[in-house]
Amino acid sequence: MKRKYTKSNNRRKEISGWRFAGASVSGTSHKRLSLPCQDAYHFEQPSAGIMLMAVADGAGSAARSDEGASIAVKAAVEYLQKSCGEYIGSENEEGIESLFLDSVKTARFAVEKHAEESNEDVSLFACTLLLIFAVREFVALAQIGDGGVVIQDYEGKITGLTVPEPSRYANETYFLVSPNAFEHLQFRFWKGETKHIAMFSDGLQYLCLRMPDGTPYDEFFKPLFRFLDSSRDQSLLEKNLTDFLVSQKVKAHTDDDITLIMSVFESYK
Amino acid sequence: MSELDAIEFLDQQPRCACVLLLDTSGSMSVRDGETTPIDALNEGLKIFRDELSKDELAQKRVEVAVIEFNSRVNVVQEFVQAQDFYPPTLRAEGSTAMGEGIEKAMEMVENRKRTYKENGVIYYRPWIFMITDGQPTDKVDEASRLIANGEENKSFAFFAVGVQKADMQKLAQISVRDPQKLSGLNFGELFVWLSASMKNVSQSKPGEQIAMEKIGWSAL
Repeated sequence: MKRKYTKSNNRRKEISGWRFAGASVSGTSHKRLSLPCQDAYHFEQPSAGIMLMAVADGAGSAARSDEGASIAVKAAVEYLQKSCGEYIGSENEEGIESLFLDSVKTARFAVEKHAEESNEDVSLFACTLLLIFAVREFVALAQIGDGGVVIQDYEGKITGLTVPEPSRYANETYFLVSPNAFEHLQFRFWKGETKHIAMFSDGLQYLCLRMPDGTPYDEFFKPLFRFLDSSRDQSLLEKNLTDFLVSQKVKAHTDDDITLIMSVFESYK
Repeated sequence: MSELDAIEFLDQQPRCACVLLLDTSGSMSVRDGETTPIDALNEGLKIFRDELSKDELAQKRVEVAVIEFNSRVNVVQEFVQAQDFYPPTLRAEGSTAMGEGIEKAMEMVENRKRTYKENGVIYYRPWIFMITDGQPTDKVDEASRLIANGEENKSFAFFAVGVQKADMQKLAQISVRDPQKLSGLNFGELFVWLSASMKNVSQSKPGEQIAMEKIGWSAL
C-alpha cells in the first residue's frame, strides 16, 4: 500500500507533549474494484505541545480522489502550521475559526489548482476533509463531509466532537470541492484538557459511533486509547494498528477504506 | 495479546431495501420450450439468494421483500435481511393488478424507511424491481404518478423488466427509467445482475453515483 503522508520530525519530547500513531488501509470493495486506497492523512507537530492532523476520504466515484485527498490534507495542515502559533494560550475561538476557514479554503484551492494543471474537472478529485488543531487546553476542528473525531479527557470520559451530517442516505456526503462545500463546513471548539484524540474516516463510523446522533462507543475507544498508551514506539504501534485494520474481525464489518489516526498528550516529570 | 483485541464494534450496518415486485398472472405459466416463465422466475429467485449469500456484507445490508400481483396483490415476503431470505415458490394464475402492486411496493418501502429512521439505521435508496410479462389489467395512472414523484425526490429507484409479450410501451409510460426486455427466459442472468447491483449499492462509497452493472440479459 502506498503511504500518502509525510512523517514530521520525530523529535524527542523531553517534557510534555503529543505523540502520534496512525494507519490507513484499503477496503475490500476497493480491492475488488481495483481502486486505490482513497483515504489520506497528514500530521505536523510544530512544537511538542501542538498537534495538527487531517484526514481526507476520497470519493469512491471520483477517479483521482486519492490525489485530491492527499493534496488536501497536506495543504490544510501546512496552512495551519504557519499561523497556529499565534493562537496558543489565547483561546481566541473566533480567530481560530477564521484560521480554519482559511486553511480549508487553501486546501480547496490546492486541489483546484492540481485539477487545472492536470486538465481535469475538479470533481474527479472530490474528497472530504477533517482537520484538527490540538493543544493541551483545547481541541479545535473543522469538517466537510463525514468521518469523526473522538476524545478522552483525564478522567476517562469519552466525547464525540463531530456530529454526522443528517443525510438521508448512507451514500451521500459533502466534499471539499462541492460548490456548496462551505455551507456544510462544521467548526467545533472544545475547551478542556484532552488526553487522547482519535480521528477516523467514515469506513469506521458505523463500527464506533452510535447513529444517527454519533455518540461514541466506549467499548471501542477505551481499548483503543489503552493500546496507544501501551507503547511509545510509533512504528510498532502503526504496524499493530495496520494488522488490526486489515484483520478479518474488521473486514466482517466494513469493506471501505479505513483511516484511523490518534494522538495522546503525555507529561513527564 | 494487544489491547486492540479487546475492541468491540457496534453492529449497525447500513441497509439497502429491495422489493421484488413480481407478476404471477396466468400467462406466466404458459409453456415456452423446456420451461414456463414462472418456473424460470422461481429458479431465478434461488439464484438471487445464492449470489447474495456469497457476499458477507451484502447478506447483512441488503433487505429483500417479495410482492406478487395477479388478480390481487399479495405480500409473499416482508422485508428480511438477505441472509434470512428463503425464496418462495410462486404459482401463476389470474390477471395483472400491476397498478395496485406498484402502490403496495411503494407503501412497503415508505414503511421500511420509517422503521429505519425510528431506529437510527442508515440506509441507501431503496429499489423496487418489477418483472412482468403482460400489461396491467387495473389502473396505473396513480402508480406512474407516484413513481415519477418518488424518482424525482430520490425516495426510491424503480426498475421495470418485461418478459416475452410484455407491453413495453406501457412499461415505458409507467417507469421513469427505461424498461428492459428480458432476453428469452434468462432469469438466471437477470438475478445474477440484480444481486451484483445490490452488492454495489450496499457497498458504495459516500456520495457515489452507482455505476450500473452491464446488462447482459436484455433483448433491447
